[in-house]
Amino acid sequence: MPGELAMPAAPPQRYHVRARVVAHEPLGGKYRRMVLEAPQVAAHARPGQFIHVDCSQGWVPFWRRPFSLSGRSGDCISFIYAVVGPGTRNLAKRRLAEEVDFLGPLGNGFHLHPTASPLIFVGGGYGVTPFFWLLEQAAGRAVHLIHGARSASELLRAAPNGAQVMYTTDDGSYGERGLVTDALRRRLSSPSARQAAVYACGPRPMLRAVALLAREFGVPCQVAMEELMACGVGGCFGCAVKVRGAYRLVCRDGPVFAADEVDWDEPA
Amino acid sequence: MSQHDATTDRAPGRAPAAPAKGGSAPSLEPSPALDLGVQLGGLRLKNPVLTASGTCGYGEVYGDLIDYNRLGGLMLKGTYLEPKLGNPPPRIVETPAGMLNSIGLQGVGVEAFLRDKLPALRRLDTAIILNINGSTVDEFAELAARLNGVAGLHALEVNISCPNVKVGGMEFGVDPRAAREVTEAVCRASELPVIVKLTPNVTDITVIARAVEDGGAAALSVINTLRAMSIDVRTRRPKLASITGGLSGPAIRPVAVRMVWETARAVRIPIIGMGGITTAEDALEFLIAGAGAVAVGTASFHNPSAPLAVLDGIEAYLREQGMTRLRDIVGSLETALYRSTKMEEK
Repeated sequence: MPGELAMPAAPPQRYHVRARVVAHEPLGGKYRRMVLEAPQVAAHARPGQFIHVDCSQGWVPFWRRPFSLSGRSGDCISFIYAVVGPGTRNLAKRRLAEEVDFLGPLGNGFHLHPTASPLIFVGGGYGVTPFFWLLEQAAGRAVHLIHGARSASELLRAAPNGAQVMYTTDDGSYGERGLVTDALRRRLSSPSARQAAVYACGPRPMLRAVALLAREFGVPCQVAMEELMACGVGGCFGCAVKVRGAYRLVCRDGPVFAADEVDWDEPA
Repeated sequence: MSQHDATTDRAPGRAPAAPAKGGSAPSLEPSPALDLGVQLGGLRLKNPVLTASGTCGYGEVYGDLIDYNRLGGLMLKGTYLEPKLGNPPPRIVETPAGMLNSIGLQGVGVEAFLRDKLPALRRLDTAIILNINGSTVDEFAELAARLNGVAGLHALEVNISCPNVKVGGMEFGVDPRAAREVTEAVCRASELPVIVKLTPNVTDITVIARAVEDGGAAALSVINTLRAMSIDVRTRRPKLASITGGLSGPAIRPVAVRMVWETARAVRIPIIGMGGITTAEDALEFLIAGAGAVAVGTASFHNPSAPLAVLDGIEAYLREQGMTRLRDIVGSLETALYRSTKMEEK
């Protein structure tokens, strides 16, 4: 049912570390995956949380950059990023065995509904990255991933083998032509989806549309939000979103919020 | 961690500024204990490094990432009598060597601060300074009075310089009469040392500084953010929902150093220098210009340990200079010598 809160059960365990790059590989298009050796962080991290990475050279760019975690393996965590600006261009130059300075794990993470079925994950553009890890956590349950982008080159086709994935593109260059919400509406319309739960990450207009669909069909929905962020730890009060009439911080109170608590009609 | 490129901090042939007694010759004797203590009116700090208001919340933000007990003090987030919603997003913009913000003093209000935030701060061995705000002189005074007799609070910082609120804020800080009136009202109402935070958005900061000194302030915080603006040329919209905001970070540091220097020559009360400090060398500029203490703000967003690195670097500098007391460096700027060395360099 709606109203399922996405808040952490325990106080956050977070660290400021310099971690060794143990893998750094292109994933096609503008996407790259980085794997960092960070045992403490790996021990406490969960899907939907993020790390705040120093991508600067000589204070440029001035802010760290937040990235959703996309996986964990032993002492290592991984994240996938798109090379789109000065920070990620710097990051793309980091080589194996170099160190990366980051804060994490940050934020609250997704909380999978204990009984809902199927679990429907909706990832828009690079918003799909946290779901690769959430798919692992949901192993053994009925899960569908809907992943959309403007065109084929912006899709991130890195889902683990066996995952049930539906791709959509605005221009029809791969998968189904249309928006992720078209595919989601069809999926939710099926009688087999009455006990579904929806988890979404992507641009705010997409999240809003997903939230409205979840409300229409009466299924619980969590959304991972993104806002411009300076400190990543609740210090600057920059990444505000209005939730139940008050400004909450994406970095500290989110990034995952219960979709029906977000004030979607507020400007952002 | 990112650092500035190595800079020539001392011109050739330039003597160390104001060497301590018996000072600068290298010695094999164990180095004497450094006296880093700072007296700001009635407020004693164990060392000169504080966190700047609005960058460390109510002290809970970085408490698990750095040891606040090592710092001279925490200047906490701006607080009103009542809770404050804050401004709509987008609230921040990344700019060259800095950022704009227009948070609008979102805060929990004084009662929630006292109930939920202050108890944890009482366990810290560092000065706790609350930044107080009001829309009217009476609100400032009422808030100051509410904070009398509160255990664990060591000073007030009166914010007459926020550029991002519609009523109050910077209005008080750009008019010497209003600035003095707020200062007097808070000093009358409060039992705590009163620090007043000045805005750089004035033609002559010394006029405001003197008015605030006359009003009874124990110390000054110099400076708050510079009013600024940034535009998305694709949409032709301002990048902040409130159109203008306050610029902070290394971009404003030379302006802040200049204003600290001007203010230090105009008033007798001590100054807490702030504005773009990221390293110890930055902080030393403020101290040499005349600040008795410094606050690290926006740099913490990039590196939570920045205040500690600043403190360690100040200590290292004093030892290197053969100095034993922090106060020997405060206001030690040598302008005449600067002109002559500059000529030699040419």
